Amino acid sequence: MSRTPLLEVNNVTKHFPIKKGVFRRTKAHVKAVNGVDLFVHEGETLGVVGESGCGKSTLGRVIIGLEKMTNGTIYFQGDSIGQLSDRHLKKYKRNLQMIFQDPFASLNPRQKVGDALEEVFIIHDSDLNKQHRKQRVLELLKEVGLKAEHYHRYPHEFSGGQRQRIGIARALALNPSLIVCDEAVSALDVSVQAQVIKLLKDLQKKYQLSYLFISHDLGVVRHMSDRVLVMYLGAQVELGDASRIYANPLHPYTKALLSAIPRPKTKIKRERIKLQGDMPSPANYPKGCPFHTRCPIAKSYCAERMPAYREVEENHFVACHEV
Amino acid sequence: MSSVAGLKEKQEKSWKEHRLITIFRDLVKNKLAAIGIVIIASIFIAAVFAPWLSSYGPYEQDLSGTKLAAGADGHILGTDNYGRDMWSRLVHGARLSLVVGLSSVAIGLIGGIGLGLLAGYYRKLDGLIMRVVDLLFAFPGILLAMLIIAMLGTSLINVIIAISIWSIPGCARIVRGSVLSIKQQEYILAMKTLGASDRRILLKHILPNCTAPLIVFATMRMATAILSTSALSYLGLGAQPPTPEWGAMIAAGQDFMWEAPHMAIIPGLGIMLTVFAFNVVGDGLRDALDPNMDMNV
Repeated sequence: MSRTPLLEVNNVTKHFPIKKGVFRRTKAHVKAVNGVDLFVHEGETLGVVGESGCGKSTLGRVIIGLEKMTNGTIYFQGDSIGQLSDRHLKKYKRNLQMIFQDPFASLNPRQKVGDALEEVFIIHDSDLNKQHRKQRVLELLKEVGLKAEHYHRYPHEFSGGQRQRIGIARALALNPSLIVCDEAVSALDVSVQAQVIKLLKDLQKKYQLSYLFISHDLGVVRHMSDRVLVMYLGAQVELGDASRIYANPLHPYTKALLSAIPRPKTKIKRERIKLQGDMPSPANYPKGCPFHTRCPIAKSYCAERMPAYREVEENHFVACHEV
Repeated sequence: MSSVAGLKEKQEKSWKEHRLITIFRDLVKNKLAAIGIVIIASIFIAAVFAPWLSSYGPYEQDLSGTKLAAGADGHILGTDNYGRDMWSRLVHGARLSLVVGLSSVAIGLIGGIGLGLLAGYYRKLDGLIMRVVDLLFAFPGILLAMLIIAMLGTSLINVIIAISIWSIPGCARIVRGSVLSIKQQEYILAMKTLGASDRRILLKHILPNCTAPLIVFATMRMATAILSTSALSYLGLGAQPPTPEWGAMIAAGQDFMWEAPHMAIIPGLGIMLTVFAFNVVGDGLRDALDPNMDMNV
């Protein structure tokens, strides 16, 4: 643990104001991300899981700089980047990239694939001439398993999986050290998912990439991640090594989540924990533990006090009074 | 390698052509739009070749043969009260109408696109720009144009200025609407995470994706612009006699409505056909360019 992490996020919150009335006064906040700490080492994958609406995508966007955080600090390669303006952020963007969820929406429909990839170099390596740019793009296409003849095609001529490869090539173009994958395979068919995951893992090995892998798909996260962060209602619930969390979840929410993974042919009877009700609205944040409204083991004090987020075993953090 | 590259260029080109052909085919499937295209094409040809299409000049007076009916003495459409050839004046009028229409729509588009892009992309500018646009919208168009001409004086150039200012708000609103929806798309976010400048995002990624509604707007606007030019000239605020402008020709012809009705009716038909043609083609384009059938088939 002596290495400095590549990415370190401390107590990051993101609150969206809700404005109402003639004077657009702020009436309340949607607490999308509520005090999250995490770190990612070089060459490591940190999975972030949670239900839709738990703030995992917002967290990714805050880290990448698409949203400005409300509070907290973000260190990338040892430098604080959380409060930088877009102009100053540009030099970090080389090393910090993102793969988007929807392969149909993440490419400009009027731009040829080759042009889209070349544009990355036009933005960042303006001294590279046309010839070299094209050379680099062709290398990239090959790297992600596409062909040179795809250079002149438009995005609509590709399948979902191929488009996601283009998205990966674009993220990879500047040799980043960290890639935020926001539901990067969720929109793909299962068979294509497997190919793209394999590609991501191969690239990780080859370039020592780190991933922040955001997904609601527990199976995919398990397959991809070294460590896993479980989020609920914008808050961190449990963080630990993937193997440990999947084998021995401590937080009642994680337990419920994992028990919901469909498994074929189980001889061993598993208890399916069914959660009652819906996730509360992040605009109307519950007092105390955010999970107490649905928690099967909630005690009266859970509604009063926010549980501390503490290390129960080495590198295994849980936020629950009962653990 | 080079032959492979050549093949690729060819493929890409053929695909682009294919797309244009598809749109055109969709367009002419619509019978009215097909008629409109034919009319517009003939007007364009008439306008470009006006001096060669008529054997008389538009200003050439012949006081021995005034108010001749159509067909008389080699004047296809007759002559007016000064003995000027109506056909010649009609085709030269087409030239004028198209020049005024095209230039005012072009200026209106430039202004409207600029304002619309800024208003749609920067939330801080949105309120200010759109209130100004609302203000322009609140004025009846022709009144606004008359106001501008009253300030600047009567001339065809001022008509162009007046009509283009009047085209700006509509265009700005269309562009703003498109920008608002396009800027939420993931490919715009992707460009932001790559560190692209706002200018690059606006001009290379947002603008090309809102061309479809703009093409329809420009076509429809041509009809309005031509109609307004004629209206202003009819009222004496635009082209001044003896300029062969359709509206001014109607104004001159109305005094002779009973003796020589063709003097008012012929330029009137010219206006009607042109406006009709641009409107139906605009409607056809709206269907042919339907974004739902656009790129993601």
